[in-house]
Amino acid sequence: MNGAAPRRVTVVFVGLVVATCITWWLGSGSSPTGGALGLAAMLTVLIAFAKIYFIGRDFMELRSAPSGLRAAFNVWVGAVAVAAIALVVV
Amino acid sequence: MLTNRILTLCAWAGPATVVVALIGWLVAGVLPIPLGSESSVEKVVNFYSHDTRVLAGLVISTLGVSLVFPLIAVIGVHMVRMEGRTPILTFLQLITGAATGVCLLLPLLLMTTIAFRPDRSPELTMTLNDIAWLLFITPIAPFMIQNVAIGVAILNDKRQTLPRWVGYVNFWVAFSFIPDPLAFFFHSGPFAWRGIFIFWLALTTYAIFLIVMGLTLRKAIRESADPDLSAVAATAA
Amino acid sequence: MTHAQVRGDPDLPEFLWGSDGVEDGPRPSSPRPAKTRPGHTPGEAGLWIFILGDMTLFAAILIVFLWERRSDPVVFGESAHQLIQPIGAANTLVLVLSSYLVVRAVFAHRGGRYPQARRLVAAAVGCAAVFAGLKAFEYYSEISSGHTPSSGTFFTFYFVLTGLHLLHVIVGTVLLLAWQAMLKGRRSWTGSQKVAEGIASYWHMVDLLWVAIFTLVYLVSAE
Repeated sequence: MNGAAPRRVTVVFVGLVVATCITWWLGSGSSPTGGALGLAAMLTVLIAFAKIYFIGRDFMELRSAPSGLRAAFNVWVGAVAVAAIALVVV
Repeated sequence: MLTNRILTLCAWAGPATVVVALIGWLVAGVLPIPLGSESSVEKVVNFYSHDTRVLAGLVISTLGVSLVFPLIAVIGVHMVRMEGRTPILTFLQLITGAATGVCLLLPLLLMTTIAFRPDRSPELTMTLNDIAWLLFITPIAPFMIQNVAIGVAILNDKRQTLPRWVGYVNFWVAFSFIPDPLAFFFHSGPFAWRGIFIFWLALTTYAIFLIVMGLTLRKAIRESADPDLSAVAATAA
Repeated sequence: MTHAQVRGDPDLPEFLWGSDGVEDGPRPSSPRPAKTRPGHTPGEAGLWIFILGDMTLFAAILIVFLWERRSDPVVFGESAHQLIQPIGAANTLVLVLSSYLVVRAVFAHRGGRYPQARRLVAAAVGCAAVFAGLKAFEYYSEISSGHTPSSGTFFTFYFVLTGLHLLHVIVGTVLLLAWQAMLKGRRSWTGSQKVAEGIASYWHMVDLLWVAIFTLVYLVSAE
């Protein structure tokens, strides 16, 4: 091992930064989805939990973890995302 | 061997605390819905007016919470094995554990005292009830120090007297007590003394602590008593 | 590692190990069976009980927050607009960057590149300091505008959530510094793997919790 992180990690990092900017833009009210009922909110939540999923998968290295652990993490992400969207949009 | 029997009984005291205390509180009417900081004076006075039921239930619950003392002792015995020559964390757990027992006992005795004379002035009843509940909910420090001491000792234990995940559970339980002093600042809502993140969270996590410690200690006592299992444990270490 | 894992039969699924481990007899004192277990747990299994348990606690508080919001979305919206979104966003980026640095530090430590790992961990600690500084400024400006934890339900949750999170940042920073000390002592990867990975996983948890808090408290509430 030469001590360098795989390129995938850097790609995920850039993706996270971009996603953060997108959600900030969506949330700042200047986005064109303002009229749609909760569409911006739903998108914001979805993007956020996608970010969390990737932090788990690639930063926490859960992609090479035992499937039980990965499943537990993903269940948390899914359940909280669904609950958040339900409470925000419905 | 008698010592092992005593150790095992003390370990069982952990889950027994949960059972007996819960029964006591159910009888007294503290559970399922306890009095809240937002309860009206009439509600509080009314609660303590069912004096026989409340007295009986609270007395049972005081016996229940006193069962933490044997558990603290058996935790201490095992922590000495973990630490060796300078059992500072063991002492810390014993001292703070004893304090937690008192912190659980006094408020319940206070509530029992309120029920002793239900026809007191309502203001007095209200004040005593406030004191009892706030004393019950807010003193987090002895509990947290106890849990952290146990956790650190387990994680530093080369011999793996107790499984390492128990150490992490202790850290999580300690963390769950952090919001409790917020009970002083809120009279209603999820951070009041009856709030979901104060009373219910602490009740749940403390019960988990008692049950997890009791059961894993029981297993550890059994394993150290059985020479075959000891040999396996020795090679594992 | 628990007794069960060491005296378990590597050909059996993990959940069948250890229940009657005595029958297998004492295992030879070799280290855990390499590569026959499916997947590698970063850090150690017990730590994940804490991490997932912690995440669940935060999730519960966030869910209750969103539930409370439904009874008064307008007031929540107005309160949320009092928050300084750019600081929240900056803090999100700072933590994401620190997480990235921590991942690279893990790989550097694995590869024996100690100076590089030390620089990366130091940079992550620097990010934590920036986060804390921004947070302090944010708290100061909110409190001086009259918004305190008792200024209504929104601000109660805001201060409790961000306060608990800040505690985690502080603990995480202490852990990062402990890792830094290990790196200075040039502890080998085999000796430090569990601890370093555990500290890294804890830090990523701190990062992802902030993503959730920023999204739901700063952004969604303000919409």
